[in-house]
This record gives sequence, structure tokens and C-alpha cells, in this order.
Amino acid sequence: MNPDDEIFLSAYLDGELNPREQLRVESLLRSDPRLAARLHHLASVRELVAGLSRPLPPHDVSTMVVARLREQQERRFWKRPFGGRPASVIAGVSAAAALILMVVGFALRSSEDHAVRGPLAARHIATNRPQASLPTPVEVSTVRPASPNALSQPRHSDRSTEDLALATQSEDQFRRILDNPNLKRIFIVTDQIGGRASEKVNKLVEYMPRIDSTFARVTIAEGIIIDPKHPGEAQVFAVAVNDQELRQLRGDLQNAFPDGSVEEEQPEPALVTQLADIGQVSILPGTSVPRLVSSSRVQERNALKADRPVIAPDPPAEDDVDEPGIERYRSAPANVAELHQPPGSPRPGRVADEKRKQTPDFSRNSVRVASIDRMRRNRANIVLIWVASR
Amino acid sequence: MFGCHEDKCLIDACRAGHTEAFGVLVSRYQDRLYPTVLRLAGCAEDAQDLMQEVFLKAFQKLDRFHEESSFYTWIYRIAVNLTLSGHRRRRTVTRWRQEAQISALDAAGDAHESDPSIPLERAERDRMIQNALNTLAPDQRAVVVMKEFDGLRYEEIGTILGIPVGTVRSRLHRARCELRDKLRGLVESEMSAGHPSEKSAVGAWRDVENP
Repeated sequence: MNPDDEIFLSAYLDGELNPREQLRVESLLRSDPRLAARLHHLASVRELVAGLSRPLPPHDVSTMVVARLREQQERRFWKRPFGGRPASVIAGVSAAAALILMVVGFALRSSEDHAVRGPLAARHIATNRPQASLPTPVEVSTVRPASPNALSQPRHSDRSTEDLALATQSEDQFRRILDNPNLKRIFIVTDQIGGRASEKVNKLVEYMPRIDSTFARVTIAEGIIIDPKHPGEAQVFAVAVNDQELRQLRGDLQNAFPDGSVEEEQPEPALVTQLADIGQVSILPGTSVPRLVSSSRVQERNALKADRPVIAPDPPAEDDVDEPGIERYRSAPANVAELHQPPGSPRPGRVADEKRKQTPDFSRNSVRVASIDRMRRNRANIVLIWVASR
Repeated sequence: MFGCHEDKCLIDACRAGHTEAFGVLVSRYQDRLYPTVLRLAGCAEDAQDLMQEVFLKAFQKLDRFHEESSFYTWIYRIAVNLTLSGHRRRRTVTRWRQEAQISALDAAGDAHESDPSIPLERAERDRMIQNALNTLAPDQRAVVVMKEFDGLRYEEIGTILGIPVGTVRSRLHRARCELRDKLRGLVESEMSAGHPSEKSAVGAWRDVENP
């Protein structure tokens, strides 16, 4: 048998020869003992390899694979979010992040704030570089604009070192807020180009009674859209709702868009991990549910404004009592009567007395405020309604 | 969770974007596929990386899986081709042969450590065989592993590698001859021991030899 013929030995060993080839090999094997010995050697090799152990993988591959798939999906999300939906989502997502900030800051302003500043007072915040100029909840909630449009003034000029430090701090605070689990839902409304879905959603959000009636609206301009295939604008609405209100909102959206153009998504964790450019943000008043003014509510708000956990506040200084702010009257129902007294009525001493009498209540109030704060954090849902053109 | 546990249901769930469904498929087949990948790759570290690459590639190409074969056959094919393309891409044969000696030691050690039930003597034997396998050219090693280790037929091997059956036959024979020379000691002891699993064609030949 020549070397080429030896190839048939392996095939004979494996039972891969046709009957004619098999007969030929068997004939050769009978006539050549060396060939028979080679066959046995090859058979031994085969048995050695076949007998190799079959160890289990040292690590669970599925865990690693799923983790990597999620990473890839998250990376793709930023390039082409929501599996091919309009890429304006990227801008929307960034806006969403900003909206959470805005909503957390502004939703804590109760409906009584609207009564003070007027029901239709919309405040606009226009930003091009949110990381530098994005207001934090604390900043926003402590700033009381001189006029309804005060916040629309650009805040990016002549930034000092202190401003930059504050911006960094604000970013940290912002990230902390984004880490909270309150962003529960994203409703995606797909609109036709030139459609009026955004207008419908705006009305729906504006007239749906909610405890936290304030809502935010972000307009994402063309310039921010990354995917040139979807150059249309997008609008994102953000509301803070409790569970019952969320159910109602879902139902209202489904009724408003019965053609199935509303989809509901769980927000991806990646949505809230970074900041990006945002569009123009408007904070707007909605329709509040009538309720009694709660003193603890104001305390809660004040505590949040002070950028600290809710702790027992210091008793008010007497100097402060001479010119009580509106909130102070609210925080102390006994003082409401003072608010309605005619100008010039003697009050400082009496107000100071009232304040002193209430001093022991602050610690009790603060406990209650902390409790309510916890409840609010646990129960509030931040919901985004994102209207994008097809 | 995904309605049913059949591969088809899970694949449909994957296509619908449920990454977890793919995790179920990976869990189902990883233990079966890993030994092959380990023998092809030559060491546990490369095998681990390759396993991930194989399944990630499978997920990416899931739309191209038309259920003409079983899911396992499909990922098996991906594994073999990915291993071979990885070898072609990463290493020259010369360098690869130099590395083979080291990686073989790793393979045996890893195999024993990952599965302590394998006796040390068996692990040592595995190390020698894997060492010899690692010195083969990647395309020869692939044929040997597919034939000897996984028991595929020539036609199946040819389909997976995209080569004619005749090429499979010659490639396998050359690989066996190389292994015989490298494993002479083990081969001799195997023959003298008359390994109980020695059968099929050789057994048939014995019948022919001693009717």
C-alpha cells in the first residue's frame, strides 16, 4: 500500500469507506502485517483523544454573556435608542435626566405656590450646556424669581470659580437624584410629522388633577438630534404622580391615542447615568387636587430647600418675625389671621409670642416632615411622556 | 417566564429583545459546548473567552438561524469556525506551536482544578494528549476534535468546515499520524492494555483476521 492508500486506513477505522473500498483495505490488511499494526496504532490514537476528560466551564458563561449583551445594548441605546425608534430619544433621554431634576425640584412646590405666583406663570429655563448651567433641585427650589420669566435668563455668563464649584456640586446632586428609583415609566407617543400629539399630551397633563400639579416640558430642537434620519423635534413631558394618578394617566393616554401609538417602557438604567445637552425646559402649572394647606408640607419644602436632610429646624429669630414671609404665615396657621389684618395693625410682639409658643412643635413637626418626606420618596413616580415624530 | 422552555420559544423571545431568554439557552448548552471549545482552544483561559465570543456571535446572528439544524449544531459550527478564525487572525503557526507547550500545561491544570473529580493521573494523561493536540495545525486539530472527541461523521465535518469529504479524510489521517508519533508511549501502553473501548473497525478487522 502506498502512502496515499494509507489514508484509507483512517477512513476504514471510522467506517467511512464504501463497500468496495472496504473490501480492498481488508485485503491489504490480510497481506501486510505492518499495515495491520498501523491500523491498531491509529485506533489507539483515536481512543486516547476520545477519552479526554470533559470538564465543566470554570465560570458560568451565561451570566457573563448576558451581562455583555446588556452592555452592548446600552451602548447601542445611546447610538440608536429604543431599538431603532427615533434617535431623538437620545436628546429626549438627556432631557429626561434634566427633567427629573426639574420635577424633583419643582414638584415639591405644592399647588399653593401656584396661587401665589399666578396659575399661568410659566418659567422657562433655556440651556445649551446643562452640565455647566443646569440648576439643581436645591438651586431651583431656593430661587424665587423676581418675575415669572426670571429663570429664563441665561445663567452662563461670567462664571466664577465659585460658580464652577457649585456647578460641580450641582452635578453631584443631580446624579444622586438620578440614582433614586423614582423614574418609573416612560410613555412613548409616536406622532406623525406635523401631527398634534404633543398638543394633546400637553392638555392632558395640564388638566389632569394631581397632587403635584406642576409639570415640565422639554422641547428638543432639531440641532440636538443625533440621527439625521429623524430630524424632527421631540417634546418630553415630565410629571410626578402617585400610583393612582399613574393609572389614571395611563388610561388617559390610551384614550387619547386609541390607535396604539402609545408604548410604555421601563426606563433603562443607562438613561440616567450621564448628562448631555438638553433642549428648552419649561416648568408649567397643572391642575391641582384641592386640599388643605399643611404646615408640615411647607416645613418639608423648606428643609429640602436648605439642601439637607429633614432635621429639626432652628426656631425663628425674632428679627425674622418682623417681616414674615407668606410661607411663614402658612407654616403657622395661627398667623393666617395676621395675614388678613389690615396694614398697620400692631402685630410684631404678638407674632413673636405665637412663634415662641410654637417652638416646641418644631421638633415634632420635623419628625412628621421626615416621615412625610420618606413617604413621598417612596410613593412618588416620575413619569416621562415622550412625544416623537415618526 | 418566556412561555415555554423549548429552544424555539427561547429563540423567539431573544428575537423579541429578551436578553434573559438567551441566558437560558447559554445555560442549557454551555456545559456541552465547553469541552469541545477547550480542546479546540488548547487552554482554559482562551476557551472561556471563546465561549463568550461564540454565544455573543450567536446572539448577533440569531436572525440567520432558520432552524434547519438544532440550535446546538448551529452554535457548535460557530464555535469551530470562530476558533479557527481566531487562530488564523492571532498567531502564525510557528509562534502558535511555541505557545502550545505552555497553554497545554494550563489546560490540564485548569481542567483538574475546575473539576477535582478528575484523578490526577487522568489529568496528567489529558495534559499529554492536549499537548500533542496543541502542536497540530489548527485545521488538523479541528478535524481530530470533531471526529474523535465529538464523534461527527466526515460529511458533517466537511459541512462545518466547508471542505470536501476527501479533504477531511486526508487531514484526519495526517493528524492521527502526527499524534501517533508524539504520543508513542501512550499509544504503546494503550495497545498493550487492550483498551476496552477499542472496537468498531478494528474490532471488525479482528473478526476478519480471525473468523
